[in-house]
Formats: sequence, C-alpha cells, structure tokens
Amino acid sequence: MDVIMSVLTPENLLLIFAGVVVGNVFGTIPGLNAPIAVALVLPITFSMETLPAICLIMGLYMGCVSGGLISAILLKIPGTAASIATTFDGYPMAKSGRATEALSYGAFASIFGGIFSSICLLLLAPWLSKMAIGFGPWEYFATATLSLVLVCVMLRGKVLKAFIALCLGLLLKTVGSSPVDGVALRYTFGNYNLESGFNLIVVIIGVFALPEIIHSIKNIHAKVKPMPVKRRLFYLPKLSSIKNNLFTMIRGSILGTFIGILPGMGSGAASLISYSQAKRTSKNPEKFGTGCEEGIYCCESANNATTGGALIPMLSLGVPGDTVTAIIMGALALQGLTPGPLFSMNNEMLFRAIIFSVFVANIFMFLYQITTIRYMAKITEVLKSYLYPWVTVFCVTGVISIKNNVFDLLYLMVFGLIGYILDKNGYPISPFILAFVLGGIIEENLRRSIINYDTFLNAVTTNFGFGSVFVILAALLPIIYGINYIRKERKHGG
Amino acid sequence: MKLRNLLVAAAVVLLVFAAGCNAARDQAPDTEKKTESEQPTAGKDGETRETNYVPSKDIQIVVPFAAGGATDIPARIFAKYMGKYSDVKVEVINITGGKGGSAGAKEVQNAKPDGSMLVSQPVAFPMMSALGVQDYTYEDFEMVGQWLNSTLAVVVRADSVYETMDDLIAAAKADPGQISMGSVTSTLPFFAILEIGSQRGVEFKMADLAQTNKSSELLGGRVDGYVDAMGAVRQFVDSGDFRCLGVITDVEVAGYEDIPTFEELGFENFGYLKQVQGMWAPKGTPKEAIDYINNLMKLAAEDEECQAEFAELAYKTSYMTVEEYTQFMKDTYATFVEKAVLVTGE
Amino acid sequence: MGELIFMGIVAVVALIMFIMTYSFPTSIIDKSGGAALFPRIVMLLLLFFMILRVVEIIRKKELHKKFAFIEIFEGSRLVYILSTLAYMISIRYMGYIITTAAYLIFTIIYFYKKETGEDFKKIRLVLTILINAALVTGVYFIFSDVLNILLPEGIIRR
Repeated sequence: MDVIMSVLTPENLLLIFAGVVVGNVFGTIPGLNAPIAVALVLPITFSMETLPAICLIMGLYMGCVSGGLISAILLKIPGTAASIATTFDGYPMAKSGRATEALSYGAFASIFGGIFSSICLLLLAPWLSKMAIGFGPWEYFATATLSLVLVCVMLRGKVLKAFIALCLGLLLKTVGSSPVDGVALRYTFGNYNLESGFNLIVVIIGVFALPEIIHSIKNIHAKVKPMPVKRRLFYLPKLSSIKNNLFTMIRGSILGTFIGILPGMGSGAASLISYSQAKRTSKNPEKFGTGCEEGIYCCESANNATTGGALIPMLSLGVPGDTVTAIIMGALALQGLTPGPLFSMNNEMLFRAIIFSVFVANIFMFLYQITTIRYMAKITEVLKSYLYPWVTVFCVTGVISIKNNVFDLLYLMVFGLIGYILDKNGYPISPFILAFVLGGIIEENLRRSIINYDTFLNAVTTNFGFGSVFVILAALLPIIYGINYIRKERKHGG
Repeated sequence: MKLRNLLVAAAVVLLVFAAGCNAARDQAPDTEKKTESEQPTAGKDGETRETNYVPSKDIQIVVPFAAGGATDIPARIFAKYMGKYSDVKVEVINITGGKGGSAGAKEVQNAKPDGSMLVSQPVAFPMMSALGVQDYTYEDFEMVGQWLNSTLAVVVRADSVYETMDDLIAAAKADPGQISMGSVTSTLPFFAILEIGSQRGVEFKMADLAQTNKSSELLGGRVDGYVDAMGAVRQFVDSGDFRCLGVITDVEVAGYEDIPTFEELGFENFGYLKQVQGMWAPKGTPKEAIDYINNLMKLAAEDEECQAEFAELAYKTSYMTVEEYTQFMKDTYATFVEKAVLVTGE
Repeated sequence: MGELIFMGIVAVVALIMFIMTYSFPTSIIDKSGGAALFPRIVMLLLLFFMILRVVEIIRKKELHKKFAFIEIFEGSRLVYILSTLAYMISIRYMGYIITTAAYLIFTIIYFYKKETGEDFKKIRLVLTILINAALVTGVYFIFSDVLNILLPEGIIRR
C-alpha cells in the first residue's frame, strides 16, 4: 500500500503524464524514438529524486513505444521500430475510413500488452530472468534465425521473393566494422561514419516513409473522400471485438514479454514475429494485410509487452533488455543505484514502485490516446501538399537527432529507393527489415558459438537443446516448403 | 474550407510543440531548484582561478558513446561538478558512431577551437589507434587533462573451483586453451586477459561477450570467468554469485581490501590496464581556454561530493596537469602500439 | 525482363562484395571464422535464391510483368526526390533553418498547385512563407536549446 501511495503523489502523476505526452510525440515522429527521448531527459532526471525520475522515464518509455502506432496507422509510416507491423493492417483500415477504430484497437492492445508484462515483471521477474540466463550465444543465434525463416515461410505465395529480400537485408547489415573481432571495416570505403553500419531507424524511415510519399505524391491531385470522424470523447473498441481478439492479445503479450527479456531482440522484432505468428494461426489468414482487427491487436500487444519484458533482466540481473532499458540503467546509476541481483532485495519498495509506475504509465497512455484519437485522425484531413513536406522535414530532423550527425541523411534516400523498388515489385518488406533488426545478433552469436564450440557442427551436437532444435527447424522448413511446392506444381502441370 | 485545413495543420504542429515545451517547463523548476541550492556552497568566485579568461559560450563535453553507458554516467556526474565551478553551463552531449567512438572524436576535431567543445577520451582511442582502426592520435588534439580512474576486476563464479588467481592459472596450464575467459573483444579487459596469459605463460580461450550482456554468460556457466570494470561486477560479488580473484591496480579498492591487487599477485607493467579517461580539445584551442578547463577539472576532481558520488559507482576522480596528461597519453599510445602485437600478430 | 535486370545488378554487386571479403583483415587470435564468414554465407544464399527465382520466371509466363523502376523518376515524383535530395545534401553546408524553410516553401507551393490545380493567392503565399519560416525556426530552437541536439548551424552561427 505504501508503495502505491508513494507513486500516487501529484508530482509523480504529473511527471508520468508529461512523460506519456512527450513520449507519444516522440513516438509519433519518425526518427525520434524512445532511446532518444529517455537520453534527452537524463540530464533533467539527474537533479531529481529517484522515484519522480523513474516516473518521468517510465512515462516516456511507455508513451514512445505505443506512440508509434499513430503515424503507422494514419500515414503508413512507423513512428518507431516497434510499430512496423502495425502499418500492415492499420493503414489499410484507416484508408477504408476506419482510422479512429484502428487507433482505438491499437491503444487497447497497447495497454493490454503493457499491463500484462508489468504483472509478469511483478510476479515472475526472478524466475523469468533465470530463463534469460539459459540463453547463450547459440540459443540467440538459433532463435533469431528461426524467427527470420518463419517470417519468410509464412508469406504465402511470395516465399522465394521473401528470402531474396531477407538476404538483401542481411547483406546490407554487414556494412560497418565487423562484430566480435572489430578489426575489419567492411564496405566502409574509408568513411568512419559507416563504421557503425546503417542505423536501423534511418533504414526504417527510408524503407517505409519515403516510398509511401514517393508513391502517393504522383496522385496528389486525386480527391480522397474525407473520413467521417464521429465526435466522441473516448474511442473505446467494441466489447465484442475485444472478446474475439482476447486470445490474440494474450498470445501477443506472452510472445512480447518473452522477446523483451532477451537482450537485443527489441520491440520491432517482437511485433513482426507476433504478426506472422498470428497470421499463421488465424482462422482467416487471407484477411491479414487488408485491414483486419487481429493484425493490429497482435502486434500492438506484443510490442508493448516488450517494455515489461525488457525491464525484467535489467531489474533482476543488471542486464538491460533493450537500448531504452540500458539508458534507464544509466539513469538509475546516476541516482547511485545499481540494478542487479541484490536490487530487488535491498530496495524492495523502489522495485515495486518502479513496477507500479509502469502500471500507471500504461493507464495514462491509454487514456491519453483514446481521448486524442479525434484530433490525431485529423492528420488525414490535412492537405497533402502541406503534409508530405512536413513529414519529410520531421524525418530529416529525426534522422539528424539519432546520432547528432548529418551523415545518415546521405543514405536515407538510397534506402527510400530500395524500399520503393522492393515493395512495388512484390518483394515483401517485412523480412528485409527484420533481417536488419536481427542480422547483427545472428552474425555475432554465430561467431561466438563457433568460438565456444570450435565448429558449427560441434555447436549443434554438444549440449543438444532447444537451440539446436531451432537451428535444425530453420534449415528444414524452407526445404520442406520447397519440396511441397514442387510437388504441387507437378500435380498442377500433370 | 482550405483555410480551415491550413489552420488544422498549424494547430497540429503547434500542439506538438506545445507538448514539447510543456514537458520542458514541467521539469525546469526541479533543475533550477537544485542549481540554486548548490550555488551558495560552490564558492563561485573561484579562489584558485589563475587567469582572467572567461568563456563566452557554454562548454559541451562530447561523449562518443551512448547516453547512460559506462562512459557517459561518470562524464555526466563530472560535468555537473565542473559546471558548479564555472560561469557557463557544462553540458554532456552524445555523438555516437564509428568504431571506438571515432565519430564523436571527429566531430570535435573539426569543431571551432574556442574551448567550447571537448571530447571525453576513453581508453578506446589509444587502443583503436594501435589496432589501426582509428586514424587520429592524441597529437591531432590539444590535451586538457585526466579526470577518471577506475579499476578492472577478474571474476569467476562463487561456486567454481578457482579459489585464487593461482588456481585459475594452474587450470589453464593443465588444459591449454580450454579455460574460457570472457571480454568484449578489443576492449581493455580483452588486453588484460592477454596480458595475464603472457605474463604467466598460459593460454586462455578468448570468449567474446556482448557489451550489455556480460554477467549472464558467467551466471549461465558458459564462460569460466571474465574481466570487467569493478563497478559493474561489484554487485555480483556482494550478492555472493561471483568471486573476485584480483583487481588490476596497485592500491586496494575501498571496501574490498581483502581482494588481492595485481601488485600483490606479482604482476608487472599493468599500468596501461587502468581504465582512465581524459579530455581532449580541438587542435588550436587557445592555451588560456585549456588552462581554464583544466582548472575546472581540478576543482571538480577535488570536490568531496563529487568524489563521494564517484565512489558510490566504484570510480575514482583523478587529476593531471596538461603537461602530465600529455606525457601520459604519449606513453599510453606507445604501450598500446607494443601490445597490439598480441592481437594482430605483426 | 526488368526483374531479371534488377537481379542481375544485385548479383553483380553481391559478387563484387564477395571478392572484397578476401581483403578483410583477420586477427591471429580469431577462431570464429573471421569477418568474412557471415557476408559470404549470406551472399551464397542470396545468389542461390536468385537463381531459383530466375528459373521460376523463365518457366512461368504469367510472371513476365513490368518492373516498377522508371516510374520513380517521372513527373512530381522526380521533383520530390530531387528537391529532397538537394535539401539533404545542402543542410550540412547551409544550416538547418535556411535549407528547411526553403525546402518547405518550395515543395508546398509546387505541390499545392498540383493538388488543387490553382496558384497561391498573394496573401496566402505570404502567410505560408511566414508561418513555415517561423515554425522551422521554432523547431530549431526547441531542438538545440531544449533538447540539446546539434542541428547543423550552417552559415548562421551564433
């Protein structure tokens, strides 16, 4: 009870709310994302008490992760990596005049995922973090590889193109200094700016935002009928829709929490994997991509569930689950606190207060979103000739802010053209972008595994566990698919 | 109708800005409160200031790594105390990118040399330069001073058979290349393991660890031990998960006096394995500006509150004059060029 | 046909990148296959999948579709791409405020005409220029002063 009261002071609530609002803005603008937002308030939290500082940061974190869905749904431009998959169904839905509905589904799935994972954090943190310890390089390699293969195989009718897009993504990801040894500068052509590779956020903006603008600017004069926006104070999804998709959300949340625990996988991967998982198990997989509710519920619950998931190893092991939690750990260190095995024991009050602030932040985020949906949906009414230039300017500004560096702009347009060519010729974008998210993990951990087990075969055979099973599955799935495909062709032809 | 659209567009944009400003305003009172309470104790006139140089712009310290990291946190604390003794604000900005922080360094190298921009020098600079990854050295910058000192520690699991450093060495001798020691490749801990190996004539298996995920590798038993900053492993030693076999320093770490130092263990020439940080300014920065900042660093390093905050994170403040620091950098670069052979084999 | 050319270009680039892997340095203590290992695996997989795709295209007539590429460089798209490119490149030299304001004003005027088919009226034109310039300046100061992000200063130095 004391814990709850300690968070529920006017000051803390105000800070959480401010965090949620600013976070939402950061999340909505492509290029500005949660790590940047949290890093920017670091100096401010510095001079604050511990709990208010935590409240502000958690508000920002939650706000950012779900804020991305707004621009993803309304403009087909994912505001953050977390909402890449939200564009697949959110945008078609908005286009068919159901923008407010799509936003309310997204907001509800977000709070569901967020609350689900914060409960996991409260109840299962010590137990779940043990599971994270069981994940070594080999298991990371296996999980990431299997995820990529699954996403490709599930794109019915486009599997081959998906694999080509996947390999292209992996190939572009190898640019930069090599992981593990760090001595080889691959394809940098002497440019030190390329040593850290292509930045993920820049690639996402390039591949999603620019092609969309390039595509629709040709038909800028076409009259679009304005969407009817009903004037309501709150936009809540219909109860029946929640009921129908409860299972989807629970599954998305479990998946998201789990992926969040694994350092480096991130919310982008969580939402993409959850999307393809939901599509595979859905009763109506053919509806995916045309604006179905399920497609929004599954990925928005998953990406918000990663927040609680990422906090689990940070609070119980001192191992941050993603970039944001790494910075939060820094913020705690600035307060003189080191998260780790002793943290929850020595600071039990604070530990619980942190979780409770996540809880409150999620609620605020939901309330804020459902009340602002009305205004957000107005974006689609703005004249395109104002909207597109300003979106471009925000993309550019966001890209500069990522590293305080203007170099990234130079390859932004290149990725825009790549994204356009791939998308318009039927090469799916999701494997390409997922390859970018997971490519680094796959390469690093492949090589670490080889160091640990001397050869690749040894890695499969020694210590035979789920890691090896995953790798074998990842190798077999495409082969099985291929054989099936050829058989079907034969039958068809004969 | 169109005018309405225009207004809506403007309103949306303004809303975005208003939100941004609001947040800044919400947080502003806290910052102000704090600075006000600090100032009376600060002695703002600066008793020890020798020159009449007054900076005209805020001082920006570029940390070439991400915010919240092991390089960033002490820099932010130190900047706070530098700001306490300065007439202008001292801010930390993060410019990331490049191997070993080269993007941040390049940015400062090309900045206007007016004493308003500094780069915090991590050990990675001399190391990467020796490995041929970075094309600049300390000679391309003006040296300002040193400010941070921290200690590396060698840890194994508490339930392992290695009670002392000698046990570990003996095990490695008995089974060459099979005892795996973890580190992030091409960082200081990596050199530390190589140095231990070469001084004792043993060969370890060099396991590569992820930057953010070191402790779970040892907790999960996939490596036999690893080397990391004392501040990062301390909590696991306290919790009884890890055992610390030695700290790479010549003086005992406060609070951990029973852990043997490398001097006690009989190692030699491990001075270059200390994790120190300094400040560099762009080439051509006027001497007055450098002296002014060096003096700020001296005042901050001697500040007791600052020392206490550093100690809490197992860091130590450090101070060097410009001349001492220049000499120190010269030596460090020379040492790493020598030690790079351990990696490149040339 | 277009898709074959596209894959041909990708294949050539991949081959050049493959050859480049042989010049990657490896350190003597590296037992993990070195920096070249992963790119080579990826490139072999890429070539393998593309060969499969070529076979598929040759065997199936219905896959002979027009390849979307030239259309990027036509009409308003070209204007957008070129102006955005010019903006991105010049921002480093001219500074954030000037380039952004110029870019916004140019593109808004151009696309407004495209979208509505009418020219700007005088008052509206002046208003657009003023509002946009003011907003850009506002964004610049929020980023540089409140958020501590260095947007390029360019020719206007403070």
